[in-house]
Amino acid sequence: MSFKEEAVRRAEQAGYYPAAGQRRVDWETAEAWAEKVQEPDFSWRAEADLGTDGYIVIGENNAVASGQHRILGGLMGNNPVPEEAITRLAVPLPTQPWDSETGE
Amino acid sequence: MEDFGILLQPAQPLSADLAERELLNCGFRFAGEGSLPRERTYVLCDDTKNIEALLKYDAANEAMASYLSIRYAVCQPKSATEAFLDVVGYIAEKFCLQITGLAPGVEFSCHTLGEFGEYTWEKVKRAKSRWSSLFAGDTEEVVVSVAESWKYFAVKHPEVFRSGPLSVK
Repeated sequence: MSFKEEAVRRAEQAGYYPAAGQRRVDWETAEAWAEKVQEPDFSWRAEADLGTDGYIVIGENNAVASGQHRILGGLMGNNPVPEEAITRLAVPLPTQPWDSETGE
Repeated sequence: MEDFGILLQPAQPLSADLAERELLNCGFRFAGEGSLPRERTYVLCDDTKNIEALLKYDAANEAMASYLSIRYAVCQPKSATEAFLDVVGYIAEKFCLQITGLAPGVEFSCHTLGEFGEYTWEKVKRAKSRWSSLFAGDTEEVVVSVAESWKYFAVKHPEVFRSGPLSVK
């Protein structure tokens, strides 16, 4: 099974789908995050998400509004993003399939 | 959903130094190393736009650029979209780069910048609509970075946020 296939399987198993309008997944970036989260000195910190990567934002229905590469990388690196690093919305969001064919 | 962006990918090897020089020529300033290896980030910001760029170095040869990513928050005024298109068009033409990172099968080149412009305006219009509908129809346009866009609207609409770093509850 390829990295992409396994990442999608794990994401869907965890209930995650991209929110409609999310940019196309860059699988190399997701893979780089999977490696990074396994480094001994890596830790998910809320303040770390305030840098160039921005916030990790997830809808009430687990739709990923922002931070999809870190969500996928965390799942694949067996170091998922902890709840304290996630901003949860109080509302559900429309979703699209992973690597949507339409980009919408 | 808060941003619109693209990747600029070279068909032929492209010097990372040359790519960086053109970013600086466009008015970008270095903003720091990226979170992942071989990344440098840049920002082009004034009171009319905030555009972010990320230069990814090739893993096999770090003197070469793997790609250039350019994005901006869609809650900004149309001057940001105009600046984004100017920058992407200039750099794509300079190095004859492919514009990718969009929907599968959707690519543009330095020869199809007009079509890319039309595509961008349409996509940004839809993205603005989605963003506005998340925040009770709030259509305020504000010049902010991608990360700041969430923060700005979280302060205005705390009811949309349940928990986590952006929640004020």
